[in-house]
Amino acid sequence: MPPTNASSQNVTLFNAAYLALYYLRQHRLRTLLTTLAIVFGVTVVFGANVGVPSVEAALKRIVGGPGSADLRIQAVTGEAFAPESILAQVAKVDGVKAATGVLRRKFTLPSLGKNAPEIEMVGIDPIAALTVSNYPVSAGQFLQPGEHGNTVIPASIAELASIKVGATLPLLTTGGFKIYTVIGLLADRGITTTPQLIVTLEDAQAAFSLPGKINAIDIALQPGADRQAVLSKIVQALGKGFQASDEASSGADISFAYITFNLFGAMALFIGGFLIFNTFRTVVVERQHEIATLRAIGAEREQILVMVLIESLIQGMLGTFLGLLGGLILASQIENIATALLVTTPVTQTEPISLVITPNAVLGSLALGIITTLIAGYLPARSASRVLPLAAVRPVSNDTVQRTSRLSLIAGVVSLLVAIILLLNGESSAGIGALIFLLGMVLLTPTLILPATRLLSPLLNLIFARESDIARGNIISQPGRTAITVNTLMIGVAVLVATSAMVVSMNGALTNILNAALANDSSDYLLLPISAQDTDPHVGSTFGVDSSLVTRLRDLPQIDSVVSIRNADAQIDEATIPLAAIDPATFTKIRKLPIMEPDPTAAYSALGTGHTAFINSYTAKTFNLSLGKAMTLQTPQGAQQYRIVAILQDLGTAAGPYAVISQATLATDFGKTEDSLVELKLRSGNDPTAARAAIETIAADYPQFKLVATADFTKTGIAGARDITAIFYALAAIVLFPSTLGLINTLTISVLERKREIGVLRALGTDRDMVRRIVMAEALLLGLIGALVGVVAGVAISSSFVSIFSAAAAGGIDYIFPTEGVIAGIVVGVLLALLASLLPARNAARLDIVQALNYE
Amino acid sequence: MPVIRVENLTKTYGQAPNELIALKNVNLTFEQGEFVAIMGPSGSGKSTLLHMIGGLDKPTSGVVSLDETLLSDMNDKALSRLRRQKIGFVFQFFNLLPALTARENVALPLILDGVPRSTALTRADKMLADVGLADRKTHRPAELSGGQQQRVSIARALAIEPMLILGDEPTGALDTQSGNDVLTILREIVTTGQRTVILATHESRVTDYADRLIRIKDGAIIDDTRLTAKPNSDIIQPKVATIATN
Repeated sequence: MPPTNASSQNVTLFNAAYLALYYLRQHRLRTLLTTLAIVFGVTVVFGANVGVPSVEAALKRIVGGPGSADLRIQAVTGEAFAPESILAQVAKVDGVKAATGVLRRKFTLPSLGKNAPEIEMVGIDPIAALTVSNYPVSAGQFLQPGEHGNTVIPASIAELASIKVGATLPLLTTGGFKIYTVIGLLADRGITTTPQLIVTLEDAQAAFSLPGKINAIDIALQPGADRQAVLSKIVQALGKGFQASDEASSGADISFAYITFNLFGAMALFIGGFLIFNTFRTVVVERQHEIATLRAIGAEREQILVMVLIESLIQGMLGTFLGLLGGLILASQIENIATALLVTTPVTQTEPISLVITPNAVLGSLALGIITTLIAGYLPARSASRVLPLAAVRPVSNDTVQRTSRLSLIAGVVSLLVAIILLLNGESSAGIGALIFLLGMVLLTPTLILPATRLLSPLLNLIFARESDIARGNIISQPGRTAITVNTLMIGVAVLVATSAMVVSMNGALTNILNAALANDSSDYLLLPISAQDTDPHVGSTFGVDSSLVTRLRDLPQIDSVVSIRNADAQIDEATIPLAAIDPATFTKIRKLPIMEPDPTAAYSALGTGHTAFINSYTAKTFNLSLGKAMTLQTPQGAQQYRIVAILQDLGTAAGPYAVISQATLATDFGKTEDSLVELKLRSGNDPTAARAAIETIAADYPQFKLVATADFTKTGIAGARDITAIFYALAAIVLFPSTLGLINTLTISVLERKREIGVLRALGTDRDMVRRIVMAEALLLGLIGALVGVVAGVAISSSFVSIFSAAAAGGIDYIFPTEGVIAGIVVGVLLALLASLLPARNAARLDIVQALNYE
Repeated sequence: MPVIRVENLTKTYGQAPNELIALKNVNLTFEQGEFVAIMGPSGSGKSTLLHMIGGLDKPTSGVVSLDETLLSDMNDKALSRLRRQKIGFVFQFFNLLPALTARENVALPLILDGVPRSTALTRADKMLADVGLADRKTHRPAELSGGQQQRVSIARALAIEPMLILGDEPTGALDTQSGNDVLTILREIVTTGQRTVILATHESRVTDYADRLIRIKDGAIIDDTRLTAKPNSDIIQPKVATIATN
């Protein structure tokens, strides 16, 4: 026969693949279960990387607005500003053909209930706006300068809402509803999930209580002008206070979704990889005899290695390919949900968001899936290549098993130490620290089996009195195999516990903020924007009310006092700082701010005198400020100096900047006079029902606000947040699913491996029910050990989960110990183990005695 | 001219004082075209000797040379190549890969050696025909009787045209008739192919087929006898033909 040479390598590879396929086909169920884990991981990662950017792209298009200006400039704070000098400067910039000021604002129509669509009211200068963008009128006419009470709306919305030219529409203003007449319809211009109602600039300014102000400049570029170059020239001309508006698009929630999906996708893939590792490790043990035979008849180590690797590669490719398909389905689901959220009612256009599939998303997910399986397959493949040819003819001693476990003990301890250092090092290394911690636990588990089994024995004896000895013996005698099962469960439970810590901590952070916000608050009722309890932290961007509400409330005889808070965003050292504006003279009648220094009376009176501000201690620390110093804020009036007259405590545990100024200063520097929050205290001795009725009557005229009893505010806020956190549990379930598959997989293999033993037990008189109970007792013990180890790992990595999300969340999140998660982890772990044992237990009980005895 | 030399071969397991001596100071030579039966009770060291000769295990001291090449000088890769090019193994429990058909099992050592698949399969078909299993080539091991599986195993050993065939109790798991069939085929291989066959066995009927009987006890050779009543080809070939038609 021809000797081996280099040219025959391909042939060998082909045959290795051929053998690998044979084995995979031979064990279809196992192949399916193992592959499913990879499918899950890739599905989540690919789905996230296709779905989330698609939604993001759609959002960007909405922000940019189709057919609108070439470029839109806004204040970095997003606040309104006086147009004159700014417009003039922009018009002078090279490459700018025309520029016009607009005032636009989104709000919801409260009359349409909880899922009311967002509507954008856009105030334009009818002459100048036409020089910047095109407004093709399909019916009726366009706005004329000086008109009041008229609006032009998109034709598709008019059709959906059955509105004709000449019809009237009630629109929200800071002073409540105002009736507008539809004088024209605009031809559709691509996707706009937020319908725009166009009014004259003067009407918009009146509606928003921003007389003489605009909040954006729409620019038409000269043909051939470089958009980026013009933008940088404009920013140069206007200073740091302005930027292109699409850069300010709200990416925060999207990046949050990215992190969430990718984190859970990575976890699912990790478990997938682990499952493949487990399966192949078991497969190698199971096939030791065959591998040894191959070696005896001349297979080289490399050939064995390649054969096992190819087997895992085939599963990896299959799983990854199916995962890509699954990812597309997931992405389209994300897209559907996003479409449903963005386009909530018939009033809005319903053009779908199209999926954006980037080569990076495809290649990245492909690489992730395939590399994971290759890494997972490598160690078992290597141990397969080390099977001695002699094992074909005689059993091999278990020296190797013990050496491996000692080695894994050392490696496990080292990994845990490294992981702890990384976890303590802060959020930048927390993610990798968590993964290494899990790896360390995986390596350490074989050593933990014996003590854990001893610890749990009394419980096992209690439930399975007759079977516990055999079950315990099986577990102790096979620490390697037990460890595989325990680890599979451990990772799932750890993720559940860590997720729970994250959810509890996020809720805790929210509760803290809400409680801190209402500390020292003696109000009976709050009137606040409908969206204030949603996730939008930008209170300043919600729709407030003008001063008429406070005036009318103050006139009620049942009311003792009324105070209001106004909001705006400013910039400090290029960071956004939310401002709250109060009336220092009346504020303390209801509310006391947590002033640390100086004396509150002095502080409030100082706030009434010109450019002064309170800042919280976080702001003081971060920007190196102290009492008496001046801080510079970017406002729509340019940079302004504020003298610091008080330092406040931070809001709850949230570490973020905030400042308080007077409402008079807010009006001067920000041109804002609308109230974002109104608090009121009842006069004692009145009938509370009658008082509430009187307040409700007035509040009804301001539908953008809702009336909440102060005592209910926190409760409602937390209940709302709970709905959102449910999604995290859904994602944790995605990780637990492959864990369950792993359990079924390893328990099935374990029954197969002990076929002969089970035959002996049956021959000795063990009945079917007892065999079933033995497998279940084993599963219970495995479930308990896995859950306990998982809880330990979960608690350890949970702080890193929290810190990863804390970095992405505004204000930060403090860690709270997940007591509920720990209990849930143990219960879920044990239940899953018992559930996973049902099928293998049934198979074991049904084994034919003679066949089992002859099983080699 | 001996093809195999075993010189001062010693194999021990474990450490003193619990040391187990499997072979002590064994010296043997084997000629080309010789059918050798190594007999002895369980634990006598006959299998260990066979494993040393086949390069499956390494001696504690002493050397084994095959075709003038010292096995102790070879690394794992070279030993693997030696096994797949010069030595055919026949195991007591056949050791066929259950996932593969009979012809794929027989073709396996050739495929591992880089022989193109189609060539290897054609050759496997011929080998299966030689052991009387032409009509069973697409069956998997589970679909064959013990005797048939062992004949597939012999075909696999022969596929590479080895100079040496080693059998570790090849009839141990078979009924009398199947065992005789296997021995007949092995005899034929020696007689017509001039290959060397060495069997470790404790079945005395092997002496009806072998040229030489080596008795081993407690790791030492206690007897090395040349057997005279060596069946010739005229007797063997009709027997093989009968097996083929069974």
